[in-house]
Amino acid sequence: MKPSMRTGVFVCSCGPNIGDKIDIEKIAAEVSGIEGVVLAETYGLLCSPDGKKYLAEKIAENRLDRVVIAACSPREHEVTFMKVCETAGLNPFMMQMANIREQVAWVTRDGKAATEKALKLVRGAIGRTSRHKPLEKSSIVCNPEIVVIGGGIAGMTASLLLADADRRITIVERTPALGGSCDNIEFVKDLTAKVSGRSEIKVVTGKEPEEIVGFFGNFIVGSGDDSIRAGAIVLATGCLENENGESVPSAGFSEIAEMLRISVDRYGFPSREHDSLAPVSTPIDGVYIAGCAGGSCDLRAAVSQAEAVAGTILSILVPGREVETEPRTSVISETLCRGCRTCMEVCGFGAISFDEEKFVCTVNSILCKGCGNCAGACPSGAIRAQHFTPDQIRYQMTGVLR
Amino acid sequence: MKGAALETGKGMKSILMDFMTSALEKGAVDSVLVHTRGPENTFPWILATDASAFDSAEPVPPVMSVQGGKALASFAQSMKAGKLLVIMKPCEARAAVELSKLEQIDLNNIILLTMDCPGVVPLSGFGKDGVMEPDVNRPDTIRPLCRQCTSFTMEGDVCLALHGNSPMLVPLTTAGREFLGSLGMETDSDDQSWMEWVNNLREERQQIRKESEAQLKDEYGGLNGLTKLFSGCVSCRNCRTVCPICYCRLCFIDMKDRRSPASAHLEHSSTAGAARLVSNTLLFHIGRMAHMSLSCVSCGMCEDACPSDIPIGRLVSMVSSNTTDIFGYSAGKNPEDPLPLNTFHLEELHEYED
Repeated sequence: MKPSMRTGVFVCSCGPNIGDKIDIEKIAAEVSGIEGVVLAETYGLLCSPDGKKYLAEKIAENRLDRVVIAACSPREHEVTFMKVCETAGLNPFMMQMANIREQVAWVTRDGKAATEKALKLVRGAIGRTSRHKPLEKSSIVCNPEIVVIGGGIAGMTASLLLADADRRITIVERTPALGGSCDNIEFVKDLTAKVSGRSEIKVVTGKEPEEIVGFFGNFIVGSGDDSIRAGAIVLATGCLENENGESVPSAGFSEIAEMLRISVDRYGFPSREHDSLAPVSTPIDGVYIAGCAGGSCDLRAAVSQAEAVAGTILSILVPGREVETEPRTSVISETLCRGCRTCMEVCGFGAISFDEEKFVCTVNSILCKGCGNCAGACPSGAIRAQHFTPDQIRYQMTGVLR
Repeated sequence: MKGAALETGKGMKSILMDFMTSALEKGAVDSVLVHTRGPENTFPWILATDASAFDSAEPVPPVMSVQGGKALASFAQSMKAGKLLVIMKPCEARAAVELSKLEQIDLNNIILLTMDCPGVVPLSGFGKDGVMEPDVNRPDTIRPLCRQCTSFTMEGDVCLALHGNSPMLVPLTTAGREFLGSLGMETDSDDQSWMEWVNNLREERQQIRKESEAQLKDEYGGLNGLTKLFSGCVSCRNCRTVCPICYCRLCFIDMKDRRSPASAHLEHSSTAGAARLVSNTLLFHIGRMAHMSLSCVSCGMCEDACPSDIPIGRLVSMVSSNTTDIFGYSAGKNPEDPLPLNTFHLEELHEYED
């Protein structure tokens, strides 16, 4: 341990959830002897308002530079405690959680064994934080423009509503003209005329997206020579009937789904964030479904979905809003990279590109989500997942196994 | 196997010399990568753009000092400068194919021409007792790995078949067929006697390989056996340096942050009373095999370069045949087969679960 380290360990009882099974006092007492640990305390419910206040005070009072929180799953409260660290003036990446609830208290029957196991996890977390480095967050401004893929009833309805709110929209339509599958209905002809008359709406016909990269607030949709930037994407691609009389997505949709890395059902329709509670959202932030693109529906449903999508986008994609970028990205060492491009094959975010001149790969830190796939796959050990370095893993393992 | 029949009565060297000269002069290729005979019986690679450079060419040299795959990777990462003909041994062609999958060689615009390989003389035995060529009647003039090699022909784009009734050039890929076509060569001759020779020799070699592997396992099986095998290793890392597949700029074993710092050993020692230092020798060899065995082409460079006469090539080759079998993969054989570790299958390798 570096002599200057000031680590604080907080063991949460989580009401009765952890405290009834694990001897948290024993854990606090045991780890307080570890070099670098200046404070080891227990608390009833750290995620409560009082708990967060207590935590922030302790960090400031004791000038802690590292924090270990033994509590629930990081999926539950990592963000909560990172925020507490930030308010207390500590870089949030100097905090590490040890999951002693889901991984121990709820699954290990014997109390003594549970305490032993929890102690190991806490030791591992202390070891890991000794190798943590502060990472800086940055944010980028959202692009308020919208790309609508498909110029049928749903796509046009959503576009017109968004245009009414002064948003700029690009409709990308595969066929040579707007209208979709109902283009001979009078009402659709009216819609087409309205869309054509709006200066806020740019219509690109005869083209399909060939590449989609980015995330909520900053998508780039490439089509031919065009590169359209937008903060949100509306899938309004409609559907078809196959030879068995089943409803299936329009031709070309599977490619779009693949570019967005969105999961699809057995017919190929995109999954929704929630069938009843979030029916026009997808699991991908900033990507929405309107009309038959999500499965066959009637006119009334298509229009109301288009309205819902427009409303959702206007409430979320507010001009000037900033989104934080992931600081836990991967970095590639130019001196170690051999340009084999294995990383590009395993990257799920299109975040790695190849530099022909230098014959090395580089990570776009804005697109990178820090999953670490590339670092694991690199045959030359040239990629480092920040916040998941070999050193951090080794110290965590040593802490657990010792 | 059908091929383009050649005139009989000429040896391997003069057939290859005539062929590369004509390919260059007819403009079918812009350059040729081939061995030449340098001073004091050395055999450097040359990249020739003029046929006059072939005066001293030695297309099938008796030793292998720089693996052809490695030679090619040194300049052909992206081939934009015309068409290149490479005369190399079958294991070198396989290394080139593996390296192209690892994006270290751009095989577009490259024609790999191989031959019925006679094997090579061990570097340590070359020139001693007048041994200047591999001699089938004297096993000690051929490297052990060459003696058990079962992929001694039919590699690359085109192969020179010499052991049939009459010599022929056999195209093995579309690129190879088109290349012979561009030289006006008809590839419709069929020579069963050559295939018979290939099959017979392959069977014979498989038997030798089986026996050699059994002996290796018997003598050096298990962790203790490996420790014994590598007890003479002086950590010179020659095996890695000469290996065409070891293409990393910095080896994992030399990366500082992959090693425990001295302070960690001291810390461990102070808490536990003593810290066992992991043997770097075994870690290196096992780690290297884990990294490259799926792409090992059994060229034997490592064994030839080992100053301690460790049968490292036979060991890695055996490990490689086990690991590649798991994935049904053959290193360097088919340019279309993806590297097993880059391929994801939802359902596979259940037998290794739990």
